[in-house]
Amino acid sequence: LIHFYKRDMLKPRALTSVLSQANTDGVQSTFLFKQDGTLLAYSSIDSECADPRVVAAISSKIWSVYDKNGRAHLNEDKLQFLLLDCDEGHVAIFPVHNTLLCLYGDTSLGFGMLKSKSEALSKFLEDPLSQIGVS
Amino acid sequence: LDSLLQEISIMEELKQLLHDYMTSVPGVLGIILSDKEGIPIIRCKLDECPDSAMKTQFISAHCTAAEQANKLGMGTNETIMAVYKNFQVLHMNHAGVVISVIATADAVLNEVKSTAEKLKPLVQDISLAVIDPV
Repeated sequence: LIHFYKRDMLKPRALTSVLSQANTDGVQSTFLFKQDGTLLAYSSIDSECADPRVVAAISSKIWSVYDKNGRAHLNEDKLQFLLLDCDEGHVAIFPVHNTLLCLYGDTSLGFGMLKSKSEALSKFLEDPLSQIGVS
Repeated sequence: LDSLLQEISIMEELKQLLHDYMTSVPGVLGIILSDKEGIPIIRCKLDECPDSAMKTQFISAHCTAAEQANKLGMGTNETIMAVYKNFQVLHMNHAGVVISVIATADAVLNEVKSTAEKLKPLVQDISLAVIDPV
């Protein structure tokens, strides 16, 4: 006898659709991935976007470095978010439940807008991700 | 001995200059100039700044992160701003020297970034001493 337990699961298309809503006003790509760098979903309007798996892996590594640094050297302080200023674009990395959200756009995208969009998206995704128990 | 005394007085002047920049922005607790490997060149901090944030291990972590950030496909990484619950840390790479600014969580991040940018001309001069001539 096999029991099938009904479990909540993420709808990939719906998740991609939600991420794509952030891709306006300078934001080119949005990624959602686990803290170990495993990509969950992404959306991009940039045809020359970097490999999303590479972006996820690198972003999670950067997050991990600063997170550990904060715990070790800033009195166990908790990392809230990261903003990166690169020659060709701006990047934001925000935590959402036990995952990470990464948004990036071109240099015309202000950090204030990038931060606001990231915060709004992470608040929206917090509840659904907590329900499915992403870890 | 004279040249040594001269060097010491120049360093003191530099520290005073950094101290002036620090105190001009509310919330800034410490400024460190270091090379790309995190070896400090000059440090200046207020009493409220955690001592461990001035150490090489803390600053050198940025080098790993910046190296990875260069591979994101967004060109060379210039600045990383890390906002924690109680502190904010900004690392800016300019002319081979890393400017690290530590501030409280209440400090305005844009002002902290501006402080680092104002140090660029000073850093440009210092970089001549630390850049690999090869």
